[in-house]
Amino acid sequence: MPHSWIPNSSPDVKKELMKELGIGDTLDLFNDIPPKIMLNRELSVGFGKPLTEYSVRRLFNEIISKNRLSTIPSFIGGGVCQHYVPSVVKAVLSRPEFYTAYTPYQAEIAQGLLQALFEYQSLMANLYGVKIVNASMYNGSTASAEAVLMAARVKKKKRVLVSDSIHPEIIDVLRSWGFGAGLEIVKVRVDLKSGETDLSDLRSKLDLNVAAVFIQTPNFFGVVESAIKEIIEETHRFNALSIVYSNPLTLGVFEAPGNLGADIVVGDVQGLGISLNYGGPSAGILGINDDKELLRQLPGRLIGATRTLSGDELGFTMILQTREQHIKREKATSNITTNSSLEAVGAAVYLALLGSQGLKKLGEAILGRTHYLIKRLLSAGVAEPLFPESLYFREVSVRFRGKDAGQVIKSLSSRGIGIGPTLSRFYRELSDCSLVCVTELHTRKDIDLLVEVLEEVLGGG
Amino acid sequence: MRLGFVVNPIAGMGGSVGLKGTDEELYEEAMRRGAKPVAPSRAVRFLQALSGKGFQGIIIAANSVMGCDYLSSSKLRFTCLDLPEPSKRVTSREDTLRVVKAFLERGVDLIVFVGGDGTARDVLSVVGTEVPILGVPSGVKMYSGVFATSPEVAADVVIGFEKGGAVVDHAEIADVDEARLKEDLLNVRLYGYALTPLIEGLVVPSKDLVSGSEEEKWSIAKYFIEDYMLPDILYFLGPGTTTKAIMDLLGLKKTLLGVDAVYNGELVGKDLSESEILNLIGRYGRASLVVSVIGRQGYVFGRGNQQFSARVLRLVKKDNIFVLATPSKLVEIKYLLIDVGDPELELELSGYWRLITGYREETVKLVLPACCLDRFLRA
Amino acid sequence: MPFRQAKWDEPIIFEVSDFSKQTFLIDDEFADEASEVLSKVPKSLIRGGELKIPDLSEVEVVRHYNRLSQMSYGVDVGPVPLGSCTMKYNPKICEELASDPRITDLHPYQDEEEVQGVLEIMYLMQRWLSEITGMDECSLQPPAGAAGEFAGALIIKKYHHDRGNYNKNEMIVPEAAHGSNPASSAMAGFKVVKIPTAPNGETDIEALKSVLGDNTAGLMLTNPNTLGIFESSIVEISDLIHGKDALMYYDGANLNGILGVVRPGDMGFDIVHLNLHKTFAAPHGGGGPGAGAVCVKKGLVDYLPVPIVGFDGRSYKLRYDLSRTIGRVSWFYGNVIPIVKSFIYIATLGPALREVAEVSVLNTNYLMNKLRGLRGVSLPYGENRWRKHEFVVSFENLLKETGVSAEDVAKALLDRGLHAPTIYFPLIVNEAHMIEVTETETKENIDKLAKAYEEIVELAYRDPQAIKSSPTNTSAKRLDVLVANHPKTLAPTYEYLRRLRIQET
Repeated sequence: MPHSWIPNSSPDVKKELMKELGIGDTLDLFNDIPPKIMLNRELSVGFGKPLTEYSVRRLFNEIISKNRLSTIPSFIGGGVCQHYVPSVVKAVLSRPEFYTAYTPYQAEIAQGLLQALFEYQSLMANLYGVKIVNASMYNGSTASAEAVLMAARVKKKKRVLVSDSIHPEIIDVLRSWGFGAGLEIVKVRVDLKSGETDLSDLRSKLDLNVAAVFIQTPNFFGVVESAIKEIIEETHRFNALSIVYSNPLTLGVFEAPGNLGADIVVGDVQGLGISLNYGGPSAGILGINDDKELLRQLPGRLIGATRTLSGDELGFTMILQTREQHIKREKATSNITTNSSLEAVGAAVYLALLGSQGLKKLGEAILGRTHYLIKRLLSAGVAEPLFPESLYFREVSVRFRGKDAGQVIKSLSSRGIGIGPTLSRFYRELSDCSLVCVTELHTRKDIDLLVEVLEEVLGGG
Repeated sequence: MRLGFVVNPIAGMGGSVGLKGTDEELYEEAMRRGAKPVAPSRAVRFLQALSGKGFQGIIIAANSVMGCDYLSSSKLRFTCLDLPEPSKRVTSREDTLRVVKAFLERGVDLIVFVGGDGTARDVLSVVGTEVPILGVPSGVKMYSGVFATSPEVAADVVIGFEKGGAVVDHAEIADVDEARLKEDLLNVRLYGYALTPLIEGLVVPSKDLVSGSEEEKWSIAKYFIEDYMLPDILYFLGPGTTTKAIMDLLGLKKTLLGVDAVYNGELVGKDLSESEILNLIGRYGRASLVVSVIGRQGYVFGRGNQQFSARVLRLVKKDNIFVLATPSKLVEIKYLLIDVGDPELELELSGYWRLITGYREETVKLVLPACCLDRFLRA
Repeated sequence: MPFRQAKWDEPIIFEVSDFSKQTFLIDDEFADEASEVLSKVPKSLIRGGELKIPDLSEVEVVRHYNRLSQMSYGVDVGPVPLGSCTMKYNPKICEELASDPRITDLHPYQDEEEVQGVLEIMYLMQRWLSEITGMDECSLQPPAGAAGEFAGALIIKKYHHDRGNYNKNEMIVPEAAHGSNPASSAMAGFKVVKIPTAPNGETDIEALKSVLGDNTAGLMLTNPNTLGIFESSIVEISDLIHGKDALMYYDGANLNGILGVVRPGDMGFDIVHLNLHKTFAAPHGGGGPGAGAVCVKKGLVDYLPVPIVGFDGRSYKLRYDLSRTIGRVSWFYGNVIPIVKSFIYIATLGPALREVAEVSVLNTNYLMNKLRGLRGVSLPYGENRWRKHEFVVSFENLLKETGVSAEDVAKALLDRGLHAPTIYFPLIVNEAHMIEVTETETKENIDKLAKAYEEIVELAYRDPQAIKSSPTNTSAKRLDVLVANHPKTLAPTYEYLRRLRIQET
């Protein structure tokens, strides 16, 4: 079956190639496969036969017309939210030399891609206040798992304290990844008043057997962990490593975790020029604040600047490759090969567009909207933040005064407005609670509309 | 950086005319058969590559055919040793020794020699582990672990060393034991350990990593101790740097070239002979042997650890023999060999063995009997 | 040589401009609310350290990145014959359709009712990939092949644990395997036992038998293997492994060589991982993102990572009800964008997928035939065997005779506008070039590649220095890898570079 994507499938060319090899049938090249296992029928995939481009387009449109987007930007949160993706980012990521390239192992012909990734590493390292950031992991959840595994290897201990305020799906990922290495994941309670990590519970669980303490800020409930500095100090007091997961969008306004003493930082670029994508792909951020011990254990690719051998020009290349896929001293190391280079470049492009001023303004824009939302919800009496005294950024965990959050979400959805997820999805007892996310995409009118519709659905305060 | 450079001009001449070396009378025979010198062209290639990569150091070279002859046309900085010119233009062992002694007197950071195992042995006998050495391959016999795979790679290693990017580690010096020359299987003897530079971290795997890195040996040692070492069993550890790593982790001092015995973490025998080994087995009852693969040819028993004789092996049994090997060492080796002068035993022991090659990592390799290789080697 | 890559002395982003320009406009509608909040935040939580992000205008940013892209190379530019990477053409219709906002703007926590379209695509992919691999069900959650491998290893581990076989802690892996295989096994807590390749290029069965035992948990195999040779004894191997109550794991990176011709499930494999960015034409993105999938036979479906997509006759649902699941290998459901691209790819070709295998194998053997006879080049292992989608040649002799190495040859290819293949892998071949010519390469291009090798080899014998000084036509000449890696001159960020420069002056 000749096809335009398979140039040598055209009969004449095929004949010519076969002639050169002295065979009469391409199947001759498969004569070392035991006949009894050869597939003697057509693969039953696709739609019966090769399709024209216009048929595929039409088919695709039919299928995805069954996907519904809200009429105004979505207010759904839960670790990822709808943010703006600048046209420049889309344009740069459509450059075929970038997106159809492989990992830049042949440095001389890939200087542009390498430089773009070097810039990403540099921008992120400064943003997070750490010395080194690698060229990306798959996403924030796997970056977290790698960070925890790395800490366990470095400290040669198996116990890791993980705040229960971290996104539950991230904790699930930590458990699966830690299974092989025999990691012991111990959860630290959430303070029910503040929605932050319970410091006294942390203190009671910290001892010299702990490899690391892992917290997230803003956490799953949208709350900024205000005691982050104390937590890091406590962690260090017991010679454990501090791992902090931060949203890069906060770092124009809030202090960087590296500057507060974090040893390992993680994050995700979703929202920084990368769309929702129904959950993937994005890129995981992983950084370290030490270039000796931690560097040796840092998984993933790393780009470094160097000179050409002739000595006169600056160039870039992948460095320290013996860390990769190399089974080193300790039990488990990383197997990562493919990462999320393209998304990392996208994030770098967005940062370059925003500049220091723009990133600060973006953070403030989101922060301002978060608090406007809280004010309006409270004044309309439709919902209240779960943790009224706490500082929220981007996402707010709210309680709908005894109403089933799932129902509320459904009603809003039927009116073209998306909020959620219901917290009962993760915490069964919180059935009247939900997350609401607000970003730079939401206008004052959008937020007012949300509140109005909530009033309607909930029958007023 | 000061680089000592010495060429053995007659090394490698025997190869093309079917000789196993060019030491002493073999050289005469080689000449008679019409052999041509090999080392000079290797020397020139090395120096050209070194110059091409911008070597900044100064080369201290032996005079005339042992060094300076090849430097005169290059752009490298060099100074010639003032030694009596070798007579008859046919150099001898004494010439090499004289030159290397002079290097040490003048003070060098690294010695590069162009030659084979014979030259390596000669250099080792003077240098010991005082200064690292590196061989540009040019001999017929090259069982020692100090050789780069080509003159160009040798230049790369020197440049790496100059820039401070090299790690220095032990490597075996092995050579054919002329006193026990057999026809097909060369009797390679372990003469000692020299220091040699290793470059890690290159994209291109370093071809001189025949010995294996510190890290690799450490991993093997850690795994062995964790998973394999049992209490109340006597362990005999054979020569080599990988077994040394085990002793290092246990806090004990190892006889690099000999066999030591350990029981419950304590040293109970040093540099043991065959009879001492048999004695200890008699006393302790249960014993295990821990050996590493010796030489580029891959001997498990028979080279460098002849203390583990056939008698010892019959007492210990295959299940209690543990073989360690770093992956770098195994790269060039297709199969391993046992040569204990007892064909029945060799046949019994041959087959697939599990080697310990890393942390919780093992590799299967075929072990063949020296007595009857041809029976096993299919096309 | 008709190739000159763009060479811009493009400043690092921090050095593009000395002045602060007006950047991307962000609104200040809520500035009052923001300052109200910030006034109550303790100073220690406010950003103190300098934000070293350059303030550039849009034009500068666009030009900067466009120039950088000109100094890069992708399969849209020329062939990238990297072995085991399957760098095939990325169809533009896939790119366009996957960028539809009705995919990109979907939130993973939207109710399933609202996302039936994307769920249908994922469900169909699960079905299609199962059919292609001869498995019964797939999970699309792993974000890349290695993650899929890790999931597979975890499945094997849990499977044995559930049956009380805690002693089954050894995974057998061929020496020639992709590095991620032993790494994934180690991550899952297994001991790795490596077995050699026989001279015929296949895994040494006698060696396998010697280590197969009660402690064997599984065997990880790629077929065709990294030499491009089909493991013709695969059925015997499967029987041996199953006989010891162990599982067969298939590394799907090399699927391109057998697509539609033979299926891992029919060879006896129990678990398969796939790389959608290889065989199924999703782009490589300069290193990522990719998308993995892990597929299993009936008895292991309950172990798959959750959620997978189910269909109850009326609608598509996210299923979490797999009773023995290994859990999540990532948050959410998978790398949807590459999944959609692969979906379009499979939908377009349908049964013509088989043509992919036939032609990629034809192309590869055609090139192999041309290269094996070159002076200094040898074809180790199974010299009389056809390869499948890739082959490995050795430049060992070239190195010995001229001093020109595999790396040098690779750099010389770059000079001719051709991306080099994988070098120094698999480790069982010295001075290796691992070459994969996908089915999207034309005869003309393959001839060009063959001619380039021919010229390079000829030049190596005539004037090795010319090869050793390449590349000269690419954006940069050879880089100093030692300086790049040395602890004293390491520079993984601009800050390090800045400090090194100060030190030098």
